[in-house]
Amino acid sequence: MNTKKLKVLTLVAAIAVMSNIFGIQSVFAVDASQTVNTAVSAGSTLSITVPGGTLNLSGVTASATATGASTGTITPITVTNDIGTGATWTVSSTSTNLGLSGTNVIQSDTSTTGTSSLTGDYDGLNPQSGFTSTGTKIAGQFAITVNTISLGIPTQVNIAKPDPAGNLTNQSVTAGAITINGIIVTFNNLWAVGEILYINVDHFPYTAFTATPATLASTNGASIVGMNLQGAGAYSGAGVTSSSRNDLIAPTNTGMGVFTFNLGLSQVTHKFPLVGTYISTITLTLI
Amino acid sequence: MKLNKRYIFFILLLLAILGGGIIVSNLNIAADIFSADTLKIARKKTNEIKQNSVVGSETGGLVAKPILKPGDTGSWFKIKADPGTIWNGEIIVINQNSIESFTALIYAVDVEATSGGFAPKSSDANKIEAKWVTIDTPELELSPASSKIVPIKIEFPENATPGEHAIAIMVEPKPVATDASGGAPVVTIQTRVGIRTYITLSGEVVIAAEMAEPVLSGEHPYVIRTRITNKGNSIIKPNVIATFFDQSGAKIDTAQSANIYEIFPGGGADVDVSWDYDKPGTYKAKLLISFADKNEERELTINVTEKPKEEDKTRAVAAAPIIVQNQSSVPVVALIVGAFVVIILIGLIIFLLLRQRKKDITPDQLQQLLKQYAAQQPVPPAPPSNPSPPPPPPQQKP
Repeated sequence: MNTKKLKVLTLVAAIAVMSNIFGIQSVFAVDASQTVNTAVSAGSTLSITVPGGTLNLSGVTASATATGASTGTITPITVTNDIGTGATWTVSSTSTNLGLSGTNVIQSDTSTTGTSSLTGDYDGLNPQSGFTSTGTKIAGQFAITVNTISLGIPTQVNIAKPDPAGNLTNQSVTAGAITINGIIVTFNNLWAVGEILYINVDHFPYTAFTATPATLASTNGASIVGMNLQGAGAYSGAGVTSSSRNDLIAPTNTGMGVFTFNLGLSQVTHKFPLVGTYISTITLTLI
Repeated sequence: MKLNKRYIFFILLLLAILGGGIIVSNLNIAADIFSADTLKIARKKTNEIKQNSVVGSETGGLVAKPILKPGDTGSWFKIKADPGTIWNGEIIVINQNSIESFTALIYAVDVEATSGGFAPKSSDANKIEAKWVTIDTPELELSPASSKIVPIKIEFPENATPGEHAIAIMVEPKPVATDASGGAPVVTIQTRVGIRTYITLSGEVVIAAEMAEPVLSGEHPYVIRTRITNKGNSIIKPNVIATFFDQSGAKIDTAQSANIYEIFPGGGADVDVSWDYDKPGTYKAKLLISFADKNEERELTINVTEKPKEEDKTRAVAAAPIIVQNQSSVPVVALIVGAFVVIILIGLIIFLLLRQRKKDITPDQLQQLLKQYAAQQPVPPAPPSNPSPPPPPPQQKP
């Protein structure tokens, strides 16, 4: 090796060392400010998309004598993971009860002049409606009795819910409106004390709503080996929204790329449901 | 120590290669730092929620990611704190859609303890740990292809349980009213993304788990399923190894759990061990569950039946639960190979330098050696005073 080559190599090495020193300094400077994440680049995100914002299930086939089913599929659910750290991720879902839409709820009252408009969706909680397992029909009806008024607008009402305990609740009305189990009742100013508003509600519970993850695939050639598509199962829980159920799990060092899968849905519907549109919300969570 | 030029060249070449790699690495970091949104984020250091532009697409949605602090790795928050203290952090909420604006809802929820994965609870569920979180900006307007930073504050109560906790910080588009005029049931589909937040609070850490009696849930392969419940206050990631014995007590095989999940305190998960064995007979499976430095054992008897014929195999597989073996980690293998190569290179350099050092001699030693060499050499015979004349050239034949 001649002297010239030695000088060139020495120069390259010196530049490399200097670059290293300045590079480390720049990283320390960034960390110290605590404002920029150097571990995850700007484009490195985990995202989930579904086509459209709603899914129409098939029509309810239940009758007065037999239960039915209503089905549909969310397809495709797309998960894009370009974080690149190999971190595990999970897609889970929750569901609310399929409740009768407030705009479809049948109402009646004892007032000669008072009227009300109904919006929102019945959350499916107390009271039950439809048929029990023994075949007895439960009236899904609220009885709302006006207790006090101001300028014809109810300010306080008693709400009778036909639950097994026959509970009666007393609630205040704010600005002429009250929310009862998801249904928003708005009164006009022509009500009198003692008059009663009846509203009939119905729902299909999420405990009879089954989700079936299926057809896992990659759209960009990434491997699906090691990813766990979860088995079918009904949602569970006791609140307005169900507990979470896992649909797809990508363990550590799997699931790096773009993936699609479908979520089949099947709702068992009880006998003799009230006529109207039933609405629920499924929330798909990626984390 | 004198170094041969060849070795100097070798070391310089190595330095140049390493330096080149570091230059490229630094350029990548610089590209990250100065990319579309982070550049503006780096400039901003106020509590004001500012909007920054990002690259979007027509199908993009809302995403969120943590702004990590020194020492954090991956894509999650990992917080170590004392009860009674406050932690402050930030997340970036990004609208990746280049056409649509979003109103983003930002909130914290607890995580389902019984799921086996990491399943955040719904926004209307009761909050326990999630109550510790304060988000001053729970609702954000995001124009197409833009991002905003949201401060997050977590206050750990004085009486918080020591050990590990998990919270999810969620981001989702604000729901819009659903049209109820269709007649058939309508399902509104919401999507949300979250940031895992693992918290370790100081205090006495209890690691404990309970394994239920194992059950068999499949044939060819035989799937042994057991439920593990976390009875401590720390997240555990149990591993189950099954050892199989024949009727004489001889060990014939082992298998390991494929689906290893984090189990949160108070929660549980089903863990499967898959065993593919063809020889009919009765066997005993001993299951050893290990987590942290603890072990528990369970036993199960398995009657292995005749394996179905080839034409029946498809049906049998379709009926069995989906068990996919976890593949070995490619990045870990690459790291091990890389580390091995570096060690070999360093060893080679040290070896060459030591070898060279052995060969090096000082000028005094050289002179002494030369003297010794000269003394050992026999005296050459004196040259003849009258050397004989050279032989005559050959005569040409006529």
